[in-house]
Amino acid sequence: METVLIDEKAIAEALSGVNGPDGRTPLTRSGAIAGLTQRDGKVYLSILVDPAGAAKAEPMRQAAEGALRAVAGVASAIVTLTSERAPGAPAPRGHSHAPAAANSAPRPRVPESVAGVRHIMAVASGKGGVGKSTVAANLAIAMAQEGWRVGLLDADVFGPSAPRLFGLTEKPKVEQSFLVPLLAHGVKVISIGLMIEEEAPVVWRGPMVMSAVTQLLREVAWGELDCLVVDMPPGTGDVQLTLAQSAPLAGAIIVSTPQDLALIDARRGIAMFDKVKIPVLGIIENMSYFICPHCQGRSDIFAHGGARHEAEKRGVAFLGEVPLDMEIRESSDSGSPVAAASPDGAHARIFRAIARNVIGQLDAPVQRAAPKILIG
Amino acid sequence: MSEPAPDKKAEPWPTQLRLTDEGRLLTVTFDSGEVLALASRKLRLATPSAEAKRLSPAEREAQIGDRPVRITEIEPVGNYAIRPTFDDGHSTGIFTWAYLAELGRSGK
Repeated sequence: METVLIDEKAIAEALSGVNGPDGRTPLTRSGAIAGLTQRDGKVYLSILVDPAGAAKAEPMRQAAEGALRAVAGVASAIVTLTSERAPGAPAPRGHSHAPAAANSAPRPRVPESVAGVRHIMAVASGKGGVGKSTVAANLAIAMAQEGWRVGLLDADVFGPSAPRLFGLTEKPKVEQSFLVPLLAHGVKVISIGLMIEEEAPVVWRGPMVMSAVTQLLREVAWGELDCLVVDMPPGTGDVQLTLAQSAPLAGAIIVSTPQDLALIDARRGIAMFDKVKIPVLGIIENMSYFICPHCQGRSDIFAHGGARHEAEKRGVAFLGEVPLDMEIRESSDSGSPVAAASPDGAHARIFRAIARNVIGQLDAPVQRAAPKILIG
Repeated sequence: MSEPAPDKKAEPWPTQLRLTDEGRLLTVTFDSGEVLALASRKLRLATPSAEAKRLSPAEREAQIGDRPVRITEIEPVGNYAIRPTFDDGHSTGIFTWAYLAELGRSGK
């Protein structure tokens, strides 16, 4: 196949002029060459380095590339650093936070912190302002009232509302490099809002947001939970995708108001979850109707029934209607959501019914779980 | 109470992924009963990573050489895919269930 064969002796000679990973021994005698191939004037070399010293090895990598390019007949050279051990070498077992390629024994990886969590469920909306966080908080409380051990992760980095909704002001403690969630209304809560001042803006670029969200997911001592409710930021962007990729989500709930404008975005939300194979457990219609406290007359401010129609059209469950109501708004703002403040009231009953539905779905054996990964 | 959308049953869905032969072979069992064996080398050559998209099949082969390829680690990606780390350090390819099924069925 190789039409142009570069003289291997010339390559070896060139590489002997480059010092290996220890900085003294020439590469060719360092035993660090893990692979050397060539094809049509292109040379590929991989050099074995200690993963801890990968940054320091960069000058060596560049020197090797330069040396190879200078060899007659070499059109291009690509030198890569690898921390893989040669086959047959003993495989040291590090702890699970070691860099990906540091251990050569194949193994699957699951974030430690959610290891004790049975189900992770996202509460999402295509659009902001539909009351997603209020619904997520009430639903989490209602699920806890049903006897489940529930956690709430407020992943809405730019507009964290869990601290206000749950009336939390103290900062979470750190134990053995894990954040300890705060307990309120029977729910373990963690939010970026607990770490920053309420008025302080979060002025972050995408990568920072994503690493913050990943940290909130992985570095929190959730302990044993039946369900971790993730209050997603509105929209279908980076953070949503990161969450969908980094956590084995059992399902998602979409919150929407009944008007067309919100439903268009709810549809996008459903489409996104379809794409990453996360089952949509159902749609909740929030601000579904308004009962006038003075005349008891009913107004469908944002029209009515739109979410139910959408659910039917998409073949997903319709979970319930939550009215636009002063009590829900006031109790949410005061740090004691309606499901906790008046657990026997009409509104709390709506959330309890939704909670029972969701619990039933999560526990149903028809759930398509991610496959087991077995090594060996 | 709730029924999943009708067309989802047709999609390939693995129940088990097993890595054997010191990481050289990945065997995928689907809920349909189908079992597909994929050599790690084949997966490495077919990586859907954007990094590799610019390389021609010949360039990919050249990059890897003739040696057998091993998978050193498999990270689950949500519910829908895996991200294997290969022994040459490559780890940016996300293999969805559908892609694994396609690769497994394409023979060779």
